[in-house]
Amino acid sequence: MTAIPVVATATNTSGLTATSSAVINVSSPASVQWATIPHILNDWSVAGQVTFGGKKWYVESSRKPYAAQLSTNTTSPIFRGEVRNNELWTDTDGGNDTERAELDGSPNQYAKGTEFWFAYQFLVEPGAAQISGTVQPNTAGNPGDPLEWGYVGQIHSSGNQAAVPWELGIKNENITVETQRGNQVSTTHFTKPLVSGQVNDVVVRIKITGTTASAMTCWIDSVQVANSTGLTIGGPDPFNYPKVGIYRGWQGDGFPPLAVQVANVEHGTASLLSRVTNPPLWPAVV
Amino acid sequence: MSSLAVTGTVVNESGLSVPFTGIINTIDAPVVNSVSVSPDPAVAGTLRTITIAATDPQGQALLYTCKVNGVDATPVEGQPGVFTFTA
Repeated sequence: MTAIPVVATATNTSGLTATSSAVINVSSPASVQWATIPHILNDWSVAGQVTFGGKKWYVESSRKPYAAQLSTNTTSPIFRGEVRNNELWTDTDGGNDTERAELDGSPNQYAKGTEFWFAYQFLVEPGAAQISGTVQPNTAGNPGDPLEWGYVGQIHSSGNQAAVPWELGIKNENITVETQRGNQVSTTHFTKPLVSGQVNDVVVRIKITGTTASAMTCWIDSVQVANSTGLTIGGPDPFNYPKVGIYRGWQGDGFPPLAVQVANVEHGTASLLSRVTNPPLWPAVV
Repeated sequence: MSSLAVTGTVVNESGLSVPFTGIINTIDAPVVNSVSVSPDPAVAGTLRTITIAATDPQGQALLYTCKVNGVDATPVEGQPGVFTFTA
């Protein structure tokens, strides 16, 4: 609480004055409160799932208290994921030794060839630029380099290839919309500057076939930014599922902490086109 | 208005005296009874209403001023002693 002084005076017609003082009390804005999501060690059963946006998700994180959280005092839940240098979602945790703080939507998968929709909102919390540091347990990176990759939303395939048919990147302080085909051959469909702290509204309609019969349309902030037809998306994997949060690399390359918030997530085969013209409000503190 | 009673005596060389009385009138300063802020407390950026309640012993009209952290608050037209300020 901050107190701002107020000085009040009253002067009569004879020129005599009385003075009195008071204060204006400025309270801190109501802040989002966070609760750590229980992250059961390498549990891929129903018990290891968390509900978010009406769907079930698995948690992929370093299992630090700040790594994967849900808001507790907002009009609808916000997921917050934070990654820090060399804090990994480890093999022991069921992961692959990467810097991740994601919700894995694999409890709800879409068969190859099924057109489905995926919509969500995200913001990247303000912080230090994502530039590789000098302390690098992993020798793959170079000091001063930007992120090799950073994704704030993926449509991941499920199968032997485990590629990423669609992803929203935040590399080089830009937002990118990308698709992959085959053995992770990427196409970037759209790029625009990333503004930290700003809510970005994303809607995707996608049909992943592993052939040129694939299609992908993406809207960001109610503007269509990609409309891909005739380009192969995906590969041989038979299923796909969405992910939200943050995944960056290379792990251990000394990048500063990075946190993202995600809200209003929906996915399914029913059209979400209405969200393009009527995006939901970012959850408010109650 | 405050009044002070004055009494005295006038004496001549012959020792004769006469008493007299009088009054000193003093114009008093106004009195600020209260200064209230609404809403308070509130988060930064909130439009506040500041109300000064004051009286004048003589019943004279009053002119009000209000400064918040040294900055003039905005008087509300037609409402003497009422100001707004965003803080």
